[in-house]
Amino acid sequence: MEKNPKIDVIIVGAGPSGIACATVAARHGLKVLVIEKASKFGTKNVYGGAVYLESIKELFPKTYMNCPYETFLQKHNYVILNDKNSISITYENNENEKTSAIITRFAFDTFLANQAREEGVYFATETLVTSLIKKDNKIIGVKTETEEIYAPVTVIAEGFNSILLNKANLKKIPAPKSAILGVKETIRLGSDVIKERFQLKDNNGSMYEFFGGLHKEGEEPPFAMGFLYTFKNTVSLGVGVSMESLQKNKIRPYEYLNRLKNNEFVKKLIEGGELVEYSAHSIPEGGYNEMPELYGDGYLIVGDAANLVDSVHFEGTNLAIKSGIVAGETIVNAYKKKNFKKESLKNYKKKLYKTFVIKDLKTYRNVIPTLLKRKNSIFSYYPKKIDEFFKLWTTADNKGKKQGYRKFLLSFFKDRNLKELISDVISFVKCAIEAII
Amino acid sequence: MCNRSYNISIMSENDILNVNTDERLATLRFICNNKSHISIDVEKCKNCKNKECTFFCPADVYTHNEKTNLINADYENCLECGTCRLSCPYNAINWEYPNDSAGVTYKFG
Repeated sequence: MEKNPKIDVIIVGAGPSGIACATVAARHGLKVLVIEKASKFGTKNVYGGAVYLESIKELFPKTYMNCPYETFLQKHNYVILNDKNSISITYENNENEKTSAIITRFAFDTFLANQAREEGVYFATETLVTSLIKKDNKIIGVKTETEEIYAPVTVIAEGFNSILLNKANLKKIPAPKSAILGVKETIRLGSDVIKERFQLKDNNGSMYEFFGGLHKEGEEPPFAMGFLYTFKNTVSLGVGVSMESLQKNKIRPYEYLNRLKNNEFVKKLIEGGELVEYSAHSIPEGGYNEMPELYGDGYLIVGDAANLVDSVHFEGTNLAIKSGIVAGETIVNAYKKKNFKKESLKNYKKKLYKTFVIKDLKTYRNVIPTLLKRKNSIFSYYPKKIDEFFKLWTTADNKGKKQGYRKFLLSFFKDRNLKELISDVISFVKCAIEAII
Repeated sequence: MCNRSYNISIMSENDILNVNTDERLATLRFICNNKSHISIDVEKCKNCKNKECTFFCPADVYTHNEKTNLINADYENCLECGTCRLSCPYNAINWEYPNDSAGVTYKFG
């Protein structure tokens, strides 16, 4: 790079959203600088484990299959955990369609960055942006530990831990109920054990979502879910817990992880494994209702920094990439018009609202708040009831089935007051209707 | 000062079900920094009864000294998740990313 190159676009953060935006802008001849605090790509980033190929294809149509994916998702398992028993559903897709893949963040982010570099994006790694530079209410650049860098447009792709946006008063600090802490262990089992234990062939992968089973008798159930992804030689096993639950329940996040690991169902999947990494990261949970304003004079916000996570489907990287692409296109147009003010950059928001990114967030806007309110039902009461039902279904007690069913049905009304039951039904139906209409 | 020491026993086969915080943190590479990126407003802590920070941190960075009634932050073990920024009920924790490219490095993420 020249000593004082004129930079057209500054991007803070070399995650999927920042890199996507940088690539699109560089493709159109703009001089783009991506600033990343980590010394190597992806080494300060954490996620569950899966990426969606459609979004990567949109960004790199020719090369997206060169990415070193470890496995391709073939099995999706949904498991309800109780103290000892479990109920699971497996969706196994044998059509050999590659729609999502499992890969480490280090490998994924490095692939994206290398692709972007080939298209002319400049990267400054090991560089921490300490603040945004504001002048007359306009963002005109960034301050790093050693210098100030100026550009007509700054893209904030700093992730959910949005220190810069908070400092510049461009985003509110989220409440604990709008944030999830994910804690995860990467466990080495070896590829033979993984294939045998998870019944996988070739480069197929499997993922699990776990509901319930994290609280002890008498404890308030946390708003939390477990997950597992199978890589080639390792599995990642983690729990996402609402920060509100952590704050109120006074149970340590890794204690929930320990409970998940020691559940009878999960235990046999990881037994004999070796812990190779422990990680923690926060995830936005506020969704559409708590999105910051996505643009302003001289800046755009993309990815997790803008709350773009679909926590119902565990999707994040695809929303990040799409938001980056749309932001990049907006910047290219802004350069054509030489206008970097609000009225020009608002096209980003306008366009993004027409994509799946905001549409999906809108679809599920009330799901998480509803589930948070009904967390006792979904994480404690119903898992127990489903367990009771299956116990009844699978046990021959020499007393006749009808009596059992009657008792089971009656228990629905005896174990729980009618008001709660009706409340559950109304909230779930409301969410379902909102999702469809 | 940077002093990170762990009490790690050699892991046997079944220990994966029973690892402790030291063993977890020992899997990570931390680049040390002589300056803490976490500062605590001790005045605010005086009003705090529950000391939530000693529970919500995934790396046990925060410990409470009963004698002095102060919260100590072992910033060298910070996983940079940001939970403390959002979850301290008194907003007493000021958290920044570590400077000089210090802090945690993930191999897998």
